[in-house]
Amino acid sequence: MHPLPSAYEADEQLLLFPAIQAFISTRILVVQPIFVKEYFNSVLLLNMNLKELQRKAFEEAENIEKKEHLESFRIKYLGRKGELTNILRSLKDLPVDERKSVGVDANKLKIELEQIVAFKEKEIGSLGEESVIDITRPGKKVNLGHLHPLTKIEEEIRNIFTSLNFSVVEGPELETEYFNFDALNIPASHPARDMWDTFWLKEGGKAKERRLMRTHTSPVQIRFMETHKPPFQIIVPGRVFRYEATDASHEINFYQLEGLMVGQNISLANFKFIVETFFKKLFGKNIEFRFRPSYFPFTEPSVEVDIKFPTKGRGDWLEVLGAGMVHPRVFESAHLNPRDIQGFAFGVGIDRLAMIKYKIPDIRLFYSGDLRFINQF
Amino acid sequence: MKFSYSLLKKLVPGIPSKEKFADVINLKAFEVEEATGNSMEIKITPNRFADAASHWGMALEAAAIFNLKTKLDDKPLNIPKGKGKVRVVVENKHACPVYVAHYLEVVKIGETPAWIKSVLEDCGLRPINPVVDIMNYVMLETGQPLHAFDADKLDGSIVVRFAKQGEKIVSLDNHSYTLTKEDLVIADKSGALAIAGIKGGKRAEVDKNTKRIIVEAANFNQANIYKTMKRIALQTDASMRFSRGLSPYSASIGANRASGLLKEVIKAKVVDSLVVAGKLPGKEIIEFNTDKFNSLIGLSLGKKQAADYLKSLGFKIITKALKNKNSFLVEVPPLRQDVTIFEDLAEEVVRLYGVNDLKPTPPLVGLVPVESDDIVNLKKELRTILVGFGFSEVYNYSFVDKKEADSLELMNPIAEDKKYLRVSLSHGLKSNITLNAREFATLRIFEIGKVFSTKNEEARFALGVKEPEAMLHLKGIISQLLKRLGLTDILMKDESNNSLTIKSDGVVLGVAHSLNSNSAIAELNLDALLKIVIAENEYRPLSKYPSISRDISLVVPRDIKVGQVLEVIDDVNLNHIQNVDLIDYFDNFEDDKSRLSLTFRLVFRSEEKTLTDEEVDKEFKKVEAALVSKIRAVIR
Repeated sequence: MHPLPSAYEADEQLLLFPAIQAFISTRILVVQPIFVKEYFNSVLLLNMNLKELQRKAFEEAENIEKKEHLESFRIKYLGRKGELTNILRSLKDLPVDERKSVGVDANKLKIELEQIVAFKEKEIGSLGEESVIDITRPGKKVNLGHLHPLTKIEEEIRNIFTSLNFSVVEGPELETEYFNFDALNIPASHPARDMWDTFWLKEGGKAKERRLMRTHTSPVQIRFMETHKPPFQIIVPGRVFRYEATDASHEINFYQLEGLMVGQNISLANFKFIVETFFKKLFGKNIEFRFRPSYFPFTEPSVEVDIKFPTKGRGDWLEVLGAGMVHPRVFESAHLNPRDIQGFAFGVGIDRLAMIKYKIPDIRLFYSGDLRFINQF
Repeated sequence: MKFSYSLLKKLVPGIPSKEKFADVINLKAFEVEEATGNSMEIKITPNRFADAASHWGMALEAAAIFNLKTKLDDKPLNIPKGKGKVRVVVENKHACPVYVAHYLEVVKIGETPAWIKSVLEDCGLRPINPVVDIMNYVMLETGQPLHAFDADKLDGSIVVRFAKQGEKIVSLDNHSYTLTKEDLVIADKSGALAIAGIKGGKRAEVDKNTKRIIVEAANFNQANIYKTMKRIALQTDASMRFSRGLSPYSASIGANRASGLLKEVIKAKVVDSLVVAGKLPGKEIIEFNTDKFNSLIGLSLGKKQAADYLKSLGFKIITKALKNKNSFLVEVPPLRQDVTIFEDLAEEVVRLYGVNDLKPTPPLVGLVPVESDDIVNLKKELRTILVGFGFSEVYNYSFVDKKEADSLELMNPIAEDKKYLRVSLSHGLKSNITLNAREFATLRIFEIGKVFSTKNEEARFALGVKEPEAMLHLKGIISQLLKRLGLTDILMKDESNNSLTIKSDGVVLGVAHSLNSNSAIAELNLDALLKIVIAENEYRPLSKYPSISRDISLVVPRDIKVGQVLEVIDDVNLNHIQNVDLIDYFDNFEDDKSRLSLTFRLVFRSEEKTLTDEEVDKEFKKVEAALVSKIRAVIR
């Protein structure tokens, strides 16, 4: 059965006719009884016959679903020998006063019934058997937006880490040399600085500090630790910048996720648990891991993490993450005493994870603004 | 850095096949990047150049890792000294802590033996002549860069000094460099002979007629070499090593090995030697606490086990009873400049144990509720709503070609069109619309990101729409979006014919621009929005009484704006008014283009009673009167 349209879905033009409004009101009797009551109030003056006739007609009209039923309905009430026509015809026998009052109401009812027939005709027309639509036609296109793949994966990553009790924190993209390098145990003229090719800002002569586009999300470690007391565990997703020639796997801006967990006895073995749990949730339980020693000025010991997919053809070790135990000098930079606390930090490229997960061959696609690409996600 | 597998095998007999060797080195010491032929590419981390950027250093690593013995030619040589054949003046001992010079006499230079040539070639170096080749070979073996001067071409003493401003030098490969007062040079009376630690000069070059040579093995301040190398953009095998910092103790080791080989290979005679040195660093002694180690790493190694790992790497364990019986003192080998604190020792132990073999262990910590930044949650909500409205998300570069009044500029832009930091997101969205217009008839896109100006860094979000009546869609979207975020008072005020200010609670949130009839862009400040969004919705009782609608159609002069009409209706202060909607807009009268027909639907509802027609009519009349008197509308 065709579902009842609510009054608000009905054709706007038809809504302008009070009769149709009243008619529709009766159809949603249960929901809004008040409308019906009102309507009947306004027709209280009708004589009982007329009122009864109207009630009956409305009720019948409600159940009409086929064109031929609508036609019999029309004949029944409005036809040459129809019930309303009969009443109208009988008017001439009434005294002038009553003729006037009943006549007005009867004529009003006639107009209303004609409008109902018209409304029903339209309604049935859209579902009548003769014009059944081909339901095998494709559905109407609905335009739904698409999240950027980097947003999608970042959200997935956030969900995994919040499920592991990590809070999500952000920090500025325009950083000072202090937070990006010095506080992280990377002094000026230190060759380790070459690990991060940097975009520097052109500053006026009286600039207090040199500013740069942060080369990693690690400065947020310092910013967060300066204002929070351990224990804590946070992740920091965000955009970072590197001064380097772009190619399929290098971009001048990309996204990184920093992790930091600090407490009284957070260990490297704990780091392995967290990071393995994370990657298994992101890429599947069967993933393999390889942990190698490495060097970062702000962690000691430092490690790098490679992953490998069990599937054939994706058998290479993929370098995905750098990490280590927070260097005592980093704690000192944040005014924490390294004798009381220890913990791990890690950094992972979000773009790279997205490229692996969605099999995207070129990092530059992320920043192309091309909807043919984005709308695939 | 390139290594020769056969030389390593000679230095540590018994190491496994090249592939196996690479795998294990990878897991326990350094990343091995590729391995073709006899050469191996081993990535030495910047902190390990002092000890490991050499075959001897790598041999020590390998011996510790594979539990083997090394065979190094590092026996001290009996070398004459103080004969006055060579004179060296070091002007700045901070810039050059050690300068070792050996003076040798050569009968015939001859040919470089094949075993040296093959090692050089494995490591990517080109053989030149036996003297130069031995210098390079010894650098590969010991990690100490060396330089040989033709002693007969020198004019007086060797002087290590800073260059004069503008001083010029022609290098061995005939490049001319202009130096500054910050660049260290090796010189004689006639001028610079070499750029210290980076490149030798042409003037005192060793050639096939050379009879007397001076071998230089020096140590230079890391930062000085680093700065010069960056400034003149010259990366050599020597500068690569010095700029990362070498041990001053390497100088003598290198000089000895060089003289030994010159003697052995070309029958040179070591006649004299000289060492000019400042105060060299003392022994580094660090306490290793096994409990602290086990807590940091998450292991339960015994004291002896930890000590054995360190011993295998050449660390000395000092047998002296300490207060803490789980502690012992460790003396760091002189070349291991990277080891200065306990955590450095911890790394040595854990990497030999194998980080890969460490058992992942869940942390045991008190539960602390997750408290994420508010902006993280707001961005998430924004995205959810916008995607529901059919918007797709783009990411644009933070750098643009367009300079605004308060733009920040990069000192070292990567390209001409990426010189400035973006001050708005709209700029990028406009290009996105243009780019995508070829493929998509209608577009709805958004971006969330940071913008920068001389004032501050700000989080923004921007919406771009391309479809018929774009601006009207955009306005509707913005109000729904802001309502969904919990704002109730939303105002969009026209600032000009095509731009609106978006305000809420007196706070300017952003602007919307109509670009043309079918595209529009809005940009809002996320930080400002964050301050006024109300996170919680509160339930409002549902009205028990019906609403009554009245439509009003009016004709006004063309220049009247809908905003003005709405303002007039607003100013009437109607009782029981619930909503005013524009339901029809018609400006296409065939006979008269100067008029505009508008139909508004006014919805009245009371919270206390069912309104009567009379009550509503009374309010409705007020509207009619106001419209007629204030904007001379003709009510139809």
